Amino acid sequence: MKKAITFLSLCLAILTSCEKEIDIDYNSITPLYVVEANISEDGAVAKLSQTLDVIDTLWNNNIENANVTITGEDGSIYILHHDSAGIYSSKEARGIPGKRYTIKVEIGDYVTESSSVMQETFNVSDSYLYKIEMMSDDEYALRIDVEDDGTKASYYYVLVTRNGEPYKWMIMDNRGQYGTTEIDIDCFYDSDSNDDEEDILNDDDKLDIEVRKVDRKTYDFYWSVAIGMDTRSNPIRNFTNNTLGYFSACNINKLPTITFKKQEVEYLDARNRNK
Amino acid sequence: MGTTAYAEEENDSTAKTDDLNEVVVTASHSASQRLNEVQIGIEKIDISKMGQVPAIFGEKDIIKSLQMLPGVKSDGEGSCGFQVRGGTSAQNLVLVDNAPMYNTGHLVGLFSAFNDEALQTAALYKGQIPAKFGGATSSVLDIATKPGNMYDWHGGVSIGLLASKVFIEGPIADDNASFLLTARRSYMDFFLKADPKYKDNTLNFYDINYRADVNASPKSKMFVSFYHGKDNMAVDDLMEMHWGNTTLSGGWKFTANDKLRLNTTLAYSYYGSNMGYFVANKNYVFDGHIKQGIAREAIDWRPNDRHSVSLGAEAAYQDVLSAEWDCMALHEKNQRSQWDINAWVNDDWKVSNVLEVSAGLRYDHFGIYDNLEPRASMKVNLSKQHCIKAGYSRTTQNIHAIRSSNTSMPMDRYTISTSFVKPEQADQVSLGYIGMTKDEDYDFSVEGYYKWVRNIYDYKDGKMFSSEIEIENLILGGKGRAYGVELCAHKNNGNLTGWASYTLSWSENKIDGINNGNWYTANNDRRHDINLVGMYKIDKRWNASAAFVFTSGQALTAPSAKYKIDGTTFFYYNERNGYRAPSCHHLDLSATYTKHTKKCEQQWTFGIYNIYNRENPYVITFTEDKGNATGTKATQTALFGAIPFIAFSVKY
Repeated sequence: MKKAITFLSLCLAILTSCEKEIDIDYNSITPLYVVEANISEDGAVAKLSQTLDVIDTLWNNNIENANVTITGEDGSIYILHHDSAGIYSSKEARGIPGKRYTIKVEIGDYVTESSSVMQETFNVSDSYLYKIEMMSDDEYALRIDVEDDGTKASYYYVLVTRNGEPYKWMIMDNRGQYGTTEIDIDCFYDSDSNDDEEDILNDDDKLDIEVRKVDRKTYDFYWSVAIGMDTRSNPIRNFTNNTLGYFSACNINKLPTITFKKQEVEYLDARNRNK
Repeated sequence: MGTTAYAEEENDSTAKTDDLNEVVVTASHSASQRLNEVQIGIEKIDISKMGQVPAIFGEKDIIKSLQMLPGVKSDGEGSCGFQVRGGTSAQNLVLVDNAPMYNTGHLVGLFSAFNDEALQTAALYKGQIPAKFGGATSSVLDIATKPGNMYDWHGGVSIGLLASKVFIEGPIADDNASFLLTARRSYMDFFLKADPKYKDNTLNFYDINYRADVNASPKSKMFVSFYHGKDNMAVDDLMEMHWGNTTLSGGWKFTANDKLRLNTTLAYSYYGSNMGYFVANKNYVFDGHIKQGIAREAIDWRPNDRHSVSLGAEAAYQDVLSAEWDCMALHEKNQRSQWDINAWVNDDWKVSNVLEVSAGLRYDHFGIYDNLEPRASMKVNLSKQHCIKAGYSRTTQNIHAIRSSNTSMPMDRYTISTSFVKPEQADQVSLGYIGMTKDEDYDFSVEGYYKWVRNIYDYKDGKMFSSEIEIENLILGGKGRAYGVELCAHKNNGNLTGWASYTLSWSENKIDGINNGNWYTANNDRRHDINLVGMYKIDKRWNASAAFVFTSGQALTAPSAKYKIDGTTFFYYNERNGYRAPSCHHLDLSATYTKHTKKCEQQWTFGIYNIYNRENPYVITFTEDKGNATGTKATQTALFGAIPFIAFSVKY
């Protein structure tokens, strides 16, 4: 009887739900400019590029001939110099918590601007990998504990690189958390049926974690770009003149590198009991 | 969608009489009935034939049958949500014994909330909506449940591929009182328990209908009707989702004399949804509901043989919890309530043998809003077999559903009209022709419509249901328009019966802040819909049927460019719904074997849904794919391939 039921379930599964790749004749648009820019206590960096057509594969869309300046509300002016492919930076541009900064990007006749308020410093008390059981398989995740009394709205952005390459990122607010804001980033699902092979961590992979405290405007941009993949909508504009991207005056914490060792990752409940 | 309606008893196909005599409610809607209706755009469901139309999993389903009619579309393949004349399923009012219901689908729309064993009649008003109905801008589906048998006891069991149902009915007091009880439950979760990986998961639904009728006297009849249905989904102890409807309605019909009848109705309606997410020692709980209490009085008066007047008044208290959530230590709530007061008058006037008119006016008071809604329909009889109809209606809707997708989901947010969220209002004009052959073997119809809607709402870019508690911060308002033409032909008699319908339609929206404020194709826009249904009586025991459905591609938003943010690729969408998904079509076949014995009727149904295994698009996603020549992959997910089904029922 059990075999019959299992077989029936298998039949239903076979007869339902299948995926296939289809061809779409994508429209083209005039490329839009994309700016990814930060100012922190350690300096300012801006990466300038353009959108590509959907079917383009060569990411050689960096902008090399722009003028980038950041102006503080205290009258300070910083010019970001062209460093490398699409990158403009200034070590002199250091943000002061509570001050508003405005970035201006000029590419020929094209001008775009954005502004951001520099956030306060913050502490990260812990960061670690853990796993939880999910339908008989294990899901591996990263937890970052940020000290935050929760008395006012705060927003955190986490960027994780694996062996020097971008791996995951996460944007989160501190709603409902007092004392510590726990940020969880799902890494990979340890299962034979896991389709995201690029997500799977291998032993001795090095994870570098950068946590930024950002303002509401930056949070809105990251949140909307993340859900845009599901809702088929464009992110909330952070720049003028239909420019994509963000400008964030943020405080940055770079955390100690975590080396992944699968056998050493504990279940979250066990870890909490052992603490 | 807050006000109730009165389920009017239908005369049979014989000529209307001057008096409000008690009539036998029939479930059929013949060619002559379609011709004789003054109102344009009304579809009556033949409950008895519903089971003959092959449907997915072999389930007899009133909504799936509705979707085969001209001008009516499904939300998506296999879905029980239905869209009428360019409207969304959230713009329909669904009434069961005068009580409204929402999200009328089980298992995210694979089954409808209606057990066919409990149903007696159903009428869909998609054109001119009579003045006695209000609260929806697209259509009204008015369903009446079946009274129990007042003389004999009956019962039955039906066993299907994924759900089973039972019913029992009988007299409480011979000739004076009766009851009917039906129940249904799915059992997919029983199959899941066979697999260790899924054994702790939950996936089921159930529903119960109960109705009791009392004939207190030849002039006085009363009924009480109850419905409770619930869906349950859970993944281990990590995530759970529950939603469902509960309705309770009672009515008293008093026939004062041959010309005057009064209907008093009290109804209570509850729709609620609850989601919980418990992972990594964090908990998130979301709740929402719509509660309504309704009192209604309707009068039918026939002063003479040329006029039939209906008038009435209704008061409904509506309590809408748009969202209440607990995100760890945070608790937030967005709840509104309001009285909705309505009054209406309508006159069916037989001006002459050539011209008949139905004209009415509905008044709606909701908070700070007062709206007058004229309704008019006209029929010009060209001959006994041919007529032309025309109609106009204005409708108002005060309960708004804000959705992220076409399909109704438990996490939809609802709100009522406020100073910020204005009442949605629609005007529709329609013009049509109906003709039939003298023997009524065939009838044909063609009907065109144009509808324009004000104060429709959609999520802002970058916002979703959980972004903020105040729904007013999430949405933008605008307008819409829909127009089209519907053609239908029926074969009504003989061993072979059925119908063919074709709908050509457009639906567009314009909302400032979306698509640069330009008109754009609505999410539910589909240009062509074709339905072919055939039912063949082989002999006294065997029936066969076939249904072919074709819909042209659904509107699709696809990317026009891509870019990177912090090393991750994202897509840019230049035009909302600027593309088309592949078309959807399937051929379904079924055969029914019925055997009558002295004690019971046994019926076996065999069939196959989507016999040629067409992979119809359910969702299309776009992802970066470095192994792909274009770097981008568009993936179509189809939900159903070819699905054989078998069902057995026995009725005593």
